[in-house]
Amino acid sequence: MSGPSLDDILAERHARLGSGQAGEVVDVDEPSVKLVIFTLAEQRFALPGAQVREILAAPQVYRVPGAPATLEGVISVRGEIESVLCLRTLLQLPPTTAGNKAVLLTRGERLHTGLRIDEVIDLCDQPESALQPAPDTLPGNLRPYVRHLTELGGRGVSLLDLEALLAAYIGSVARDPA
Amino acid sequence: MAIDRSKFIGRFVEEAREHLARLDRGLADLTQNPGRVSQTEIDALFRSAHTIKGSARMLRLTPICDTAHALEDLLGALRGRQLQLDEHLGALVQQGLDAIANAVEQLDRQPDPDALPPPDGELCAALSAAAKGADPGPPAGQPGSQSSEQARERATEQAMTPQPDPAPTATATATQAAATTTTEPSRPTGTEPSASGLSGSDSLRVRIDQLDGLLRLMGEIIAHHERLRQHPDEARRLARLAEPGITPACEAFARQLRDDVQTQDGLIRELHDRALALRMLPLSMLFEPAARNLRELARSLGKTVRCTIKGDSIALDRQLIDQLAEPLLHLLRNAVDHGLEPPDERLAAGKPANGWVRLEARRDGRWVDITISDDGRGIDLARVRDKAIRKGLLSAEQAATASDSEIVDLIFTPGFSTTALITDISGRGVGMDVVKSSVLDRLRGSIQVDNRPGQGTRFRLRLPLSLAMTRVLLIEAGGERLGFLAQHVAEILRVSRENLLEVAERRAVILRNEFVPVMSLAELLDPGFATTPAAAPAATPEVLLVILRVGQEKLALEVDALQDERDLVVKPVPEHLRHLHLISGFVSSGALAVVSLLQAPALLDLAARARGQSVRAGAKAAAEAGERASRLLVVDDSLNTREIEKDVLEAQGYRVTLAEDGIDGLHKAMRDPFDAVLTDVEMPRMDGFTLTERLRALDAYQATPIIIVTSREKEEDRQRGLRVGADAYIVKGDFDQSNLIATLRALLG
Repeated sequence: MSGPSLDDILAERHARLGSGQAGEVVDVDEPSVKLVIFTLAEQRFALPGAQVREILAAPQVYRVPGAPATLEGVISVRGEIESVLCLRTLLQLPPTTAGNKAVLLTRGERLHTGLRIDEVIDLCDQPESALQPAPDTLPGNLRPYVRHLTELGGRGVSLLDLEALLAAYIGSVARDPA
Repeated sequence: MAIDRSKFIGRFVEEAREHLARLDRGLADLTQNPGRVSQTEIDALFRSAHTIKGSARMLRLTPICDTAHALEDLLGALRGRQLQLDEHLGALVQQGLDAIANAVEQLDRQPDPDALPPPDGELCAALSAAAKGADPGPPAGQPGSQSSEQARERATEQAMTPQPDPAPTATATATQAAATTTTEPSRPTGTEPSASGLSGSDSLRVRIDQLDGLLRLMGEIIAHHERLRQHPDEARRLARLAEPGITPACEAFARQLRDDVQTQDGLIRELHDRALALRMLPLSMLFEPAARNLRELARSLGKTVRCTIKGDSIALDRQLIDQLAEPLLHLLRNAVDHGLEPPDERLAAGKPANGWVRLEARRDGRWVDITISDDGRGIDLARVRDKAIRKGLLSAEQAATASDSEIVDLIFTPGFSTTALITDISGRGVGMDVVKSSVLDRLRGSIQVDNRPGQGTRFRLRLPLSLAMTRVLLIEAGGERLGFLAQHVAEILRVSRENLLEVAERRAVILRNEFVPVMSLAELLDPGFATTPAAAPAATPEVLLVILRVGQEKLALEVDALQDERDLVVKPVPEHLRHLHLISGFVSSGALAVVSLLQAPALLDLAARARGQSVRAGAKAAAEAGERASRLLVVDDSLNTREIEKDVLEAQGYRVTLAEDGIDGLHKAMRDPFDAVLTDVEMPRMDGFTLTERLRALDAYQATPIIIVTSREKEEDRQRGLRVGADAYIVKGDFDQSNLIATLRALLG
C-alpha cells in the first residue's frame, strides 16, 4: 500500500480544480502538500510526507557482506528487517561530515526501504504554487531524481522523486551476479 | 477420489494467485522496458507458468493445465530469445493469464474441478502458434490449427486419464449437504472442514496471517528475553557492591530475579513450541496427491509404476509444506519421465516390467530426511557430459577430467535437461535448478543425489521441521559479527599455524584423510567489509577454523572468535535484497543488533573463484614456458583433496584428470593413456592398493609411475604400497608440494 506520489497529488488537485469540483469542505486555503525537509551533504532535499512512514533519529545501521555501495546496510524496526539505502551514493553527492545520521523509512510503489540522510530539519505544508518545475540547469547527478524545486526560509530545496530513486537502485542491482 | 481433491483446491488457488500476480508484474515489466528485464526474471516467469501447469495437472484441472501449457510454450520461446515480445504478443500473454485467473477465481468460489468451463481452444491455439513463431493473428483460428503433435498428445492424455466417476461425487456431496447446512464453501486451511454448527466441534479455523503474526511476536519475545537473561548477573554484581546494611536484601532480590527469569525461560520456550505446533501439517498433504499424480503420469507415458509411501505422518511447519510441494513434484516427475524405462526396455535389462518409486520420510531429531528413489536407468553420465559440452557449461577438457559426482551435479544447472525430445512432462530444463535453489535457500536444507547407472537414482533431502527457530553459529571476523546456519558447519577446530600446509599458493589443512582449503573469512568477503585489520599471523600462533560443508565440498574459514551457538529466529532477506547472494537471512542478537547469516554454498563458490584465478595464472605461465604437458590421473574420494592436488599439479603445467574411487580411476585409465597416476588408499568400491595392482596388470601401465598419496602412516602400509607396485608413497601428514612435484619430475624423467 504505497502512498500517492507528489505528481499524483498534484494531478488530482488540478483535475478537481479544473472540473470546478471542490472537496467536501470548502477550501479557503490554497492547496498545499506535506513535505519532509532534510539535509544531505550540506544541501536541502524534500520528500512528500505521504511517502515517509517514519523518521528514525540515529539508528545503528548494520553492514551486510557483499552489499553494493548504494546499500548502507540493514536495521531492525520492531523486529522487521528493513534495508537502508545510501541516498548520498545514489545521488552521487560528495562525502559528508555531518554528525547526524538519520534514516527515513519510505514507502515506494515497488519496495519499502530506509534511506540514510544527514538530518531532518522540518516537516511543513508547502503551498503548491511555491513548487517550481526543476530548471534544465540542474546538475546532471540530480536531474533524474529532482522534478521540482521550492524555497524555505530563503534556501532552495530540491524535491526528490522517490520512485525514480528506487528504480535506479533496483536497476543497479538487477544485473545477475556473475 | 474427487472429494479428496477438494482438500487441495484451496492451496492450489492460493499458490496460483501468487504465481499469477508474479506473472502479471513480470509481463508489465517486459512490455514497458523489455531491454531491462534480465534473463533470470524471464526464467522466473517461465517457471511460474510451469508450476501452475504442474499443480493443475496434479489436481486434474485440465482447463487450467491446457492454457498454462500453451502459455508456457510461449514464455519458453521468449526465454530462449527465439521471439521478441511486441505489443501483440504481450496482449496475447495477458489474455492467457486472465483466462487462468478467471478459472482460478471460479475454483475459489466453487471448489469443484468438474464445474470449470473447458479451456478456450482458440486462445490456446493462438498461444501455441505464437510460440512456434507463426504470426499469431487474432486468436480466432480453428482449434485444428494447433500442431497435430500437441493435439495428439492432449487426446492421448485425455484418453489415458480416467475421468472421475461422477456417481461417488454426487453421493458424497449429497451426504455432506445432508450433514451440514453450509452452502458457502469456505477455503480449507489444512484442517479438516468442520461442521458449521458450533456444537460438538473441537476444531477451529484460524487465519494463517493471524498465526504468523502470533509467531512473529513470539520471536520478538524470545529475542527480548535474551536481554532479560543478563539482568540477574548484573543484580548479583550490584549486590556485592551494595552497602553492608542492605546487602542481604539485595542478594535476596538478585536470587529471586534469577529464579523468576529461569521460570519465565521455560514458559516462553513451551509457549513458542505450542505456537509452532499450531502450524504443523502432516507430509501426507503432499505425498498423497503427488503419488496419485505420479501414477497418472506413468500411465500417460505407457509405463507402470508402483509408488510406495512411508513416514507421511511426520508433521512439518506449514511454510515448509508449501515450499516443498514444487520441488517434490519436480523430483517425482523426473523419476517417472527420465528415470523409469518403458516396460520392454526394463525386461531387456533383466528387470521386472513394473518400475517402483519410493517416497520415504524419516524423522531425525529436529530434522526430517525425505528420500525419493526409483529403480530406473539412473542418470546417464555420458549424456550429461555431452550435453554440458554442447551447452557450453564445460569445456571438452573439463568434462573429460571431471569426476562422476561432479557430472551428476550438472543436472542442477538452470536450463539443463537431458531429454532429447521435449515432452509435455519434463525435459524442458525447468525443475532441477528450482529444486536445488528451493531446498537450499528457502527450506534451509540440503540435497544429495546417489546415482547408480542402470539401477536407479535416489535424491535425499534433509530439511528442518520448522523454519521458525534455526540453530545458528555466531562468530566474529574482521571485527564484524556474522553467523552460519548450523547445518552447513561440519566442525570447528583450532590448529597451530605451523600445521597449515602451503599448497598451490594458498593454505590447506588436513582433516583425517583429506585436504581442505583454508581462507580468511574477512579477506574472502569484500576486503572493505572488515572494520579491523587482521592481526599479524605472528601474534596468534593458533588459528580458529570453521569448517563448512556443502554436499561433498568443504572449506575451512579462519575466524577471529566464536560468539555463541543457539536456536534463533531467522528472518528472511527482504525481496529487494535477494541479489545479495552471500546472505541467507538475518538474526537479531540482543536488542536491535542485526547479524547477517552467510550463505555457505555462495561462500564456497566465491572461494573456488578466488582460488581458480591464482591457479590459472600459474598454469598459464607453466604452459608458456613448457613443452608437451604430461597427463596425470588423480584418484581420491575426497572432492577437496582432488581439487587441491589438481591445483598444485596444474600450476606446474601438468594436465590433470580426476577420478573419485578405484573403479572410476581404473575405467578412466583404460580409456585414455596417462603419464602418471596419483591415488589415495581408502576409497569406496575399490581401494588404492587394489587399483595399483590392477593397473600394473595392464600392458599399458606396467611402467607408468604410480604414486600413493595417503594419510596412512604405518610402515606396513608403505611396504604394501610398494609391494603392489607403487613407485612412491607420500603421507598426507607430511605433504609438501615441492616434494610431490620433485617425486613426479624424478619419475617422469
